[in-house]
Amino acid sequence: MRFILLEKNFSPWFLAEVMRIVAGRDQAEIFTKALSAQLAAKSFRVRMETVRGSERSVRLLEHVSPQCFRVVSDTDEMIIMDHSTFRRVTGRAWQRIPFDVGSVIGQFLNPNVIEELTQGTAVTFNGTEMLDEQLMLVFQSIHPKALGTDITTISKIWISEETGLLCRLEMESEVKGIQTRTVSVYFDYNADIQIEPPV
Amino acid sequence: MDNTIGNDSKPWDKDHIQLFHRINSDQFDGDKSHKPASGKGYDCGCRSPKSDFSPAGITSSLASALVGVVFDALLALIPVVGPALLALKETVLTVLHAEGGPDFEKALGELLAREGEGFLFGNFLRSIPAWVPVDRDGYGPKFNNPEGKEVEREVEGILTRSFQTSRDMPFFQWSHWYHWSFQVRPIDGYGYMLGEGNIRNQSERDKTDSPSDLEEATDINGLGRTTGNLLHSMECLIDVGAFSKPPGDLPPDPRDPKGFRGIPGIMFHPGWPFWPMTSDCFWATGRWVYACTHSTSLDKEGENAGLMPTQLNPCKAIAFASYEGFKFDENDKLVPAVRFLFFACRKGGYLNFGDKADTEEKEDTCSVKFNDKDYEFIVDLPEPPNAAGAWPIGHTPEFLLNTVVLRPHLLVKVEFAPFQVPQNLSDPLDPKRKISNPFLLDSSAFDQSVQPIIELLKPEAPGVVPNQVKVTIPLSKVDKSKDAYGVCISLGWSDGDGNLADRVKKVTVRFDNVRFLEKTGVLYFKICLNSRWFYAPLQVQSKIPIPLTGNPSDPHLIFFVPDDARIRITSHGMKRNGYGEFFEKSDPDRTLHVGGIFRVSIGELKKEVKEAIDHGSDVLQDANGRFLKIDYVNDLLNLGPDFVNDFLTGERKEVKWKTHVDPVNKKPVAAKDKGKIDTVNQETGSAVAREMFVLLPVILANLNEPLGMVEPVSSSTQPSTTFDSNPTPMAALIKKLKDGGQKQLVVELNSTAAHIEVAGDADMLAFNNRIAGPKDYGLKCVLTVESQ
Repeated sequence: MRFILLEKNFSPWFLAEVMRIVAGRDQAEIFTKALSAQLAAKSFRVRMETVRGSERSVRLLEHVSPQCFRVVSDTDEMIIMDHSTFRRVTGRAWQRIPFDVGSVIGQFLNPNVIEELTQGTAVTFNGTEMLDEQLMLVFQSIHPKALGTDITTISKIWISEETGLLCRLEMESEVKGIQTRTVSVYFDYNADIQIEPPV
Repeated sequence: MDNTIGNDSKPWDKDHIQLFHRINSDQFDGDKSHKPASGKGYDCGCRSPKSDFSPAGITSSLASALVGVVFDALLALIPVVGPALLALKETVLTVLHAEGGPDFEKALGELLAREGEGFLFGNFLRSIPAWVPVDRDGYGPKFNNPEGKEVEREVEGILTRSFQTSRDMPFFQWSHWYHWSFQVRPIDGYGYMLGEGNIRNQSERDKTDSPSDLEEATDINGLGRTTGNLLHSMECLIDVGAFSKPPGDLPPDPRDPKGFRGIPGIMFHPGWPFWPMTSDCFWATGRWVYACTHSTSLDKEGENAGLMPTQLNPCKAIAFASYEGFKFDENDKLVPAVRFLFFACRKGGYLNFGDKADTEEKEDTCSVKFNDKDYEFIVDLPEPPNAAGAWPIGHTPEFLLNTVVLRPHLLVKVEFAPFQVPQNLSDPLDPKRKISNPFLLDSSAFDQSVQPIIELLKPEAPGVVPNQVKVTIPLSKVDKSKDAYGVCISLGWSDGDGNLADRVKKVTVRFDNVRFLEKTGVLYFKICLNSRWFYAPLQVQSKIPIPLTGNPSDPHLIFFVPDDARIRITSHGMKRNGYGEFFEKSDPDRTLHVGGIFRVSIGELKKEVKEAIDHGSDVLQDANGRFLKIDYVNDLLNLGPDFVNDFLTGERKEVKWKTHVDPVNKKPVAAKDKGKIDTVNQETGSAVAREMFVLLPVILANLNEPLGMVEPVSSSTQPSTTFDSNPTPMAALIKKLKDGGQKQLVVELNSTAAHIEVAGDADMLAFNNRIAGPKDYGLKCVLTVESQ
């Protein structure tokens, strides 16, 4: 991953605000610390909305460290408890899935794999914004031709100036003419979230 | 390579390259009457994702849901990897939507057909089966060759590459461990073994035809641009795990549970005499197959029908030789010797070789028998010593000798595999502890009782000292209870006056360091000098040179090299990623299973179908949570009790090569059924493909990346003449030693490995040979040359 500081034509007020906040601080460090904090968080919730062409899907994901997840969508619900995975289609009974999803996720937490997957990504500091009455540092990352495909993804990441935690992520890409946009809103950091095996 | 050799003779090679030749082979095509293989692998059972993937109608909501949940969880945890995951997921999903329906599997089939490049699972269906015998009529049992059956085939030539692979199909049924790739440029008598399909496919031509990153100097697995070009090579594969125990089967070490232990093959053990390297003379025999994963087209019929390259895979036996200094018991010092090594193994990996006593083929054997033939070779001898010299003779006791026989005396030493490789090794992490040798069949599996027959060949001219022997390997005498046979025959001359020993110099080799210019991480580095292989697992973090001395496999060795030999260096390796970690799992963890879609009896299943229909449902949920269309389940039920028992009901079962991957017909297909789709066969292959797809960890984890190669660049016909090249002629080093008037000569050899890329949709390695091309690493080697 490459970190670039871009000169931008901010308004005088905005530039002054940015300078006030980030004076003497290393934006790359802020960004990196936010990513580390994400992995280190005890728990959090994410509301994810994906629009692909004319289709829209919404999921709520709950995470409890180190490796418990609950993902609820309109059509189904999945729970991953370390190496056990359960799924139920809406309105049906829970089923244990004979497949270790936790291991798959675990493989991606390897720093070498993360490094591989983020090769070619350029991150820039875009300035500050107010979001839900909180001051945010906004970063943009461009990942061209991910995994050797023709897909180029542009992401915008909002990090709270106060907590240093990730608050919002927007990803946009075009695949064979179909626009895809995913918006993730992060909340309830370190809340008391309970995820239990359903069967 | 001398092209004047026949099926009963070969000229003595003064350059000591073509050190041996297989003779009296029933496969040698002296009159060039053999037709090359057609390359039409689809006619022999290869599958095409375009037409052989069964549009089963399984709405595999589970598979797509799993992809989705992995993506969502990772995006939440590590937002920066999102784009890479999105690229994978979006491409799959976009194709699904483009097909206009929820039929995931059908769309996947289309995806495999159209978007295979860069997708590992594009190779999955092509790998079912990955190899089929040349000339087989569909799924057999009939063969369209003069013999009407599968026939053992041989090839002989010079190796244009020799390395351990890094990206084989990782499931145990396909690969017990990484394969060894011998790429052979055949001599004339075996030219027909290169088939019409041993050419680059379109995706490779796109990569290599100018203008592109990989231009004319690129070699892609020895494949040619046109057919019939004997300058190209044919691949012979050995599954190293077939005769070695893969490291995943070692007990875990609590101190380093993920650490790689042992060595990646018996050839890396110092007790193994030597193993073939690029530019060696090589012979192999085994199963002649098409490599189904490499096709020129996905069309099975018509003008554009796909062609596949031929391979020998698995090799039943290989033979190779080394010209080097060797200490015979009868001599005081080492003298020039030719060492000939023959190695055969009943275990082949995906299939084994049957016994000559077998009355019918077993579930795990191919039609080629392990021990139904003997093999004869001509092996060169080193140059005999000069007979001249001062020999005072007269009546004893006034003179020491009263008779002198001037005929040189041939010395022979025969050693049997597993040679000096011990049954138990020291644990590399705790040298005081003994562990079972991870890379060896039990030593009792080797037959050490079968003696090779060695006969001096009479020279054509009278009074001339013989310079060749005939070696017969009586493999037919190997006992049924033995799995392997290996013999090393060392041939040299008695050295009464020490003249021969004077010709052999001691060369101490120290691989000082390696400096990687691009790659970091866990790198498995493999180096070879004059057919001795060394292995160095490295943790590389920067471009700083890494010393190889002090490594557990410190390649600080002493060689004894004749004055007319060459010093040759080769190296290769891989960056181990998640794919490699999967490869290092135990055999059971890498074994693919299939079936058990519904874990109920046939009667209960039929009842469930009826109840679902009665309730107005058009789907049925299987044991894995997948929803299957009722019509599809009914279709499967109608495929007969064998299929139903194998795939629909009962417990999940291990995938078997001859049952599930390459299901050979027990009897010939009736004329009326020719050309019809074999539904059971198609469903079987598709079921295995689906199981592969569901094993997402393998697909999503990073593939290993091959390291560049250092190779002895000059060909056998253009021997190098300078001491700073690879190969380096000993004569140049000795001249420099003499010119310097010193007892020792210290020479530094610096080699640079050309960058290697993976080219095309068949995952072939492309070797960029351009001098000015990108480099992967530099290797520094120091040689100290002195008299022995």
